[in-house]
Amino acid sequence: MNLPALLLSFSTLFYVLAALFHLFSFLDLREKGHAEAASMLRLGFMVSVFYFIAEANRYGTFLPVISHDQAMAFFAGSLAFVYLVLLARIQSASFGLILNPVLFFLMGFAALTRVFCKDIHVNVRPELLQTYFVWHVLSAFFAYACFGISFAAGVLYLIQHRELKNKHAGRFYHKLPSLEELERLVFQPLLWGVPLLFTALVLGLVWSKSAYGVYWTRDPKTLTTLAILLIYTSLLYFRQTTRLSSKQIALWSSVTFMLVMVTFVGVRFIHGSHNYFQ
Amino acid sequence: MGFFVVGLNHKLCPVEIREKLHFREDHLQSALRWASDHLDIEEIMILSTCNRVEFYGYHRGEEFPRREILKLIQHVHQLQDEDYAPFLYRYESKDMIRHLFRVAAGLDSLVVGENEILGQLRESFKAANAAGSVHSLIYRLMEKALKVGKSVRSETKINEGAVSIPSVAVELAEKIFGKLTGEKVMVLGSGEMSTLTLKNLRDSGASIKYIVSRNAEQGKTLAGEFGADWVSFEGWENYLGNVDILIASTSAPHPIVRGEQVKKVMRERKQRPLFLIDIAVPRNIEPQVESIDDVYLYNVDDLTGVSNANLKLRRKEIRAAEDLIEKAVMDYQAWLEQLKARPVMERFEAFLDEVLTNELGRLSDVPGMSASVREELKTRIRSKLLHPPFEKIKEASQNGGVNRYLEALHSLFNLKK
Repeated sequence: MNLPALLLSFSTLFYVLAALFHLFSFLDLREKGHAEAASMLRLGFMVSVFYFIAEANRYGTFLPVISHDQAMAFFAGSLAFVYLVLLARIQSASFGLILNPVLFFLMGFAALTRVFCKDIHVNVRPELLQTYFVWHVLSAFFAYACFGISFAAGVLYLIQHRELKNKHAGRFYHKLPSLEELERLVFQPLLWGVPLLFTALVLGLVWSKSAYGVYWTRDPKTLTTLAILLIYTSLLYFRQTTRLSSKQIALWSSVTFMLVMVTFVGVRFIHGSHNYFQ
Repeated sequence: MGFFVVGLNHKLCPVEIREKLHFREDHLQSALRWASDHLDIEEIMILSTCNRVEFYGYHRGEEFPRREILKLIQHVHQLQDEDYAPFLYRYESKDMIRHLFRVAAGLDSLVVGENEILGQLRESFKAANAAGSVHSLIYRLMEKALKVGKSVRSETKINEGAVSIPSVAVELAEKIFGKLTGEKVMVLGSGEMSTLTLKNLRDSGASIKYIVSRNAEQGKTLAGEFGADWVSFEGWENYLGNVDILIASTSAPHPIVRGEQVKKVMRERKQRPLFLIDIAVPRNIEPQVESIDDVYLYNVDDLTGVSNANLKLRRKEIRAAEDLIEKAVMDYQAWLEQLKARPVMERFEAFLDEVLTNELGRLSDVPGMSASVREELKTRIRSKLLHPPFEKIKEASQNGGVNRYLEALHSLFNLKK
């Protein structure tokens, strides 16, 4: 096993441990499980940073997001970064309970892809080293990370809403934050994510022009990204005009993020201009 | 004899008897002073709440001071002991310490883990201290009990989750709105429970805005108390859009708050959540209101359900709390045993000092045995001889059997009494 593969496996392992510690803490099986999970998450993130450095060094590119495993790992890394650094204030056992399985899913997928495609060599095409491309990728991944945070808050909102409507003072009722706080955490990341995704889309078009001579191609990834941007923008509009209830916003945000995940994973297996793993 | 407690509580004794035995705050100190002056008890403290009346004390005599306590009750309440004696329980020594720690931790309370008892215990202790009826032994024990009560609450979840109806209402409001920061409250009706709920909400940060009452005088008085506005029953609907929490508690035989009204208000409120608390029987709010998005309706049964669920969670913590208490009892018992051993150990030290000073003094003429060398030798021999018995006694203080060692020291070395 080479160094990047080893680092990827360790990072996945730490995320798995973080998810387990969160679960144990939630089930009251481990008193300090939340703190241990936070440490595991930080470790996992740090190891994944070393993985990106190793991959960048290997392929001579600033952003190693060319192959499937790299893109998945970078998505997980962006999500962990936003959660650990930008949203340090909201870190809680309940948030970790939802986010860590997402991280584990992404990293696990990345690790599996790596195992099954280990002999395929990736050729970095020169257009992937342009500045436009770097910013396009960064803004797209951080937009997805914001949507990931909104998704986690949305799931928690729906659970707490159900607990309160059903008058059930169970484990979730006691451990989850208030509806108002969760609603803010559903909405706030969308306010960051939508402009970031819009920027990513514009930069992608500009880069496409400079790389391929055309602004627009009927690439499945571009089309789904446009659809996702439209849905999230509509959510922001309906939230501001109060045409949707908080529950509906939470539901739509969660469903749309699942669409993000499906298209993120699925589109990479469909031939298109976003498939650089050839 | 040592530490003792005599008392009665909500578990066995009916409220009619408990209230007859209750020591009012203004009578407590005089009763304690009378007890100090007239009873054959070294230290005494009275804990009197609506759920219990207990007499904690320290007695040097051989017999349990039950008659002394009955004398005190008769003096203060003029009650015959046959009225209440069957309900009395008593504990002494280690069992008394355990009982006190359980009371402080809220494990003996009607609502497990409630916080009020700790404050009541502290106040009783203060009163006894002011009356001069407690000295070093009860003083130290009470300090420990208050500390145990506090640590049980911080180290377990015994006091987590609201259990009274008003506090459940606050807990739910905080689950909906987060920490309350001026959420506006309206109340329909002015019953005792709604007033208590208002007080709890206000103390948690909500802003009481409107008191709706048919009785203008009563409504205005209540509004004045909370800094709110009185609204007549005919006009309350106009203010519904301005409030976040509505408490309905009127004696009306039919629903006052209807689904259509709330639907209309929710559109005006721009989907901001609305918390409706219906503590009236029969209900004042139409049940179909709860199907409206962002509206949370709780009636008395729902609030009781949350309270029961919280109580169930508290009961799960009892085992952990009992373990903490048992450890605290063992530690305290060990400390008491060590305290008991101290005079004998001091006599043994004095005996050793005397022997060593005499015997080493005889070596003063030997070359090299200067005063400083003899002193150093004395210190080293002393510490080597004292260490093993001190350790044994410390160990025995935790497992029992200190007396055996103390008697052995007495008879083996013929220590002076």
